Amino acid sequence: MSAILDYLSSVMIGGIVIIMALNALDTKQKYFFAHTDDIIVQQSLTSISRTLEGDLRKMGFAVPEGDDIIIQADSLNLIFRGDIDRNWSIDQIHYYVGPLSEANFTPNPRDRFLYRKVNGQPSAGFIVGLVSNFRFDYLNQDGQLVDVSNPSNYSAIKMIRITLRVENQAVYSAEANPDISEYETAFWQQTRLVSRNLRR
Amino acid sequence: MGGKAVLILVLGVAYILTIFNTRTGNVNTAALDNYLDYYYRATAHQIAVSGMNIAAAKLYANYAWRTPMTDIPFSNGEFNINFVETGDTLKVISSAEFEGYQDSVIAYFTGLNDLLKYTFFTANENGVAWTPGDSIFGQIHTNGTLNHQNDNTIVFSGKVTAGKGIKAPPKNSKTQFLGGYEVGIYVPEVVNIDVPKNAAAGGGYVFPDAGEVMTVEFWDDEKISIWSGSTLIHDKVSISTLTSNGVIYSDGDIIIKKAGKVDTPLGGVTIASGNNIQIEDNQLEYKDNPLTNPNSNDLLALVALNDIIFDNSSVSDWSIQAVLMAVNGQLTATNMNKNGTFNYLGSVYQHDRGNAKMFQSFQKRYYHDARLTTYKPPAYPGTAALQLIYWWE
Repeated sequence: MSAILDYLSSVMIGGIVIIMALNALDTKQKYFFAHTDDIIVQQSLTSISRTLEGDLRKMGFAVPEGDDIIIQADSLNLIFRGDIDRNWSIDQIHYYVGPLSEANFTPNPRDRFLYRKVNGQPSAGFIVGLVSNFRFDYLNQDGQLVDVSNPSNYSAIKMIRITLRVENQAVYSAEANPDISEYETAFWQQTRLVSRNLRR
Repeated sequence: MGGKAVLILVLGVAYILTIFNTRTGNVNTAALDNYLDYYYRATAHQIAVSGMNIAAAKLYANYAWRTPMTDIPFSNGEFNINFVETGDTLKVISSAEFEGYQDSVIAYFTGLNDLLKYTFFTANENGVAWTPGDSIFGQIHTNGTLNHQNDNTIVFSGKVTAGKGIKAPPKNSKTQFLGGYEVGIYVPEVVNIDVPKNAAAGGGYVFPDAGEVMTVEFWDDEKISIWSGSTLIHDKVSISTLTSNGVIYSDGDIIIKKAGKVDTPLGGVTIASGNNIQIEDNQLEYKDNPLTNPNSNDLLALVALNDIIFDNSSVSDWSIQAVLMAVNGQLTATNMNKNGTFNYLGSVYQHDRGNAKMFQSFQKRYYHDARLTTYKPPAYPGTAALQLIYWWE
């Protein structure tokens, strides 16, 4: 009788330990995935921001004074001129954000592609990365917003504010449609990106 | 038996958790590495930018400074400054290192178009204000105080710089400062006309009768006529024949008139006076208009030691295409109280801003001749001032 009780209690204790262990493993796995996603998101963010900063700081390089540097500017779209490879040939660089529908293949409903074109190439645009929020704001030298709906105001642009958020494409969750807050997020804002060539 | 199984299970779980912990630690380390990578790169970049700012400040204080700076400690890193001079262009390289990360910033300076880059330059604004309807396309500078009547029809499309300030302050003003502005900027001034005077003596044309007024009349076919007083001394002579380097000089007064449009040989013409230059015709325009043909060869500079005078006794509306410089004087008019319109293409330099009514209450339109960013009229006076033309980072 006592042996049966021993077995039963062992099975119960063993079961509890197994359940605890599985829970611990699940939690740990979720934690691990979240951390991995976090680093992927961070790396994606730094990669995108480095590309953006590198190009925008060269804005206007080798463009003669008096010539237009900014060709088109709105919150999701920027076309500017500058020699970005220092070969003394002026390039035209285009950054723009694609529609939400293009990134339907990812579970994250906010993903969009950020594209870059140099002199119109590649024609379909080079994908810089996936962003969940992206915005250009244009400031005059006093830090006031420039009304870019009127292209004649482009010459007043002396600084550009870039707001960028990157999230992981999918989240480890028991839910089929996890809450948006469960996505790992990295936020970056370049509040005063200045190309000296805009302020000669 | 059961106890052993549980022990093995616990040890197994502990082993798995340890592996997870190790990998999580690695991920954390990678996250930190990623952050540090960005931080190190950004810091190296900022040190390079700071190095260039220091070098630029030294250059503006002393245009002849070319002493390399080596291994200068800065913000726990270091930077080097080096120079490469090619023709009129000075290339300054600031290279920085921080925690093994390197970055560099390159700035290009030139002394070529130090004054010609401005659409409108004065040493002293003479209390004259920009008035409603005025438009200035291109850069404008004064070493004094720039005054404007704070109206949204006054448009400065290029950068406005002023030595002693701008009244009213541009921030929140109605006047449109589309190209931005900067105060506290002092630009060296021209002090004499030795450059065109010497050039005229060395291959150009020097007017022989300094006591007489020299009148220059332009024709359409790269020819000019020259009078000494009322005596015609050169009748429709080829400009290239008269002056091989394109420079014409007289110690006395010069009158400019035209029988046709201004047609000059390649390289342009500079006419300089040791006193005043008077413009007789209200439509002094190039034969090949640079506004429609940016590759036009026609280029005229009028350089007066004192004033450039517009004869407005019989005309009110002006269209002038020429570079104008009044070294010690101003743009002025024969009738100080006459009004009208003034359309201009070129680059104006005057010591004191003219206060004739035609330069105060006219609706003035000043356009910069874009060709002046790449070349200048022959023997056009300048200073040793360096200008930043391009910045690479």
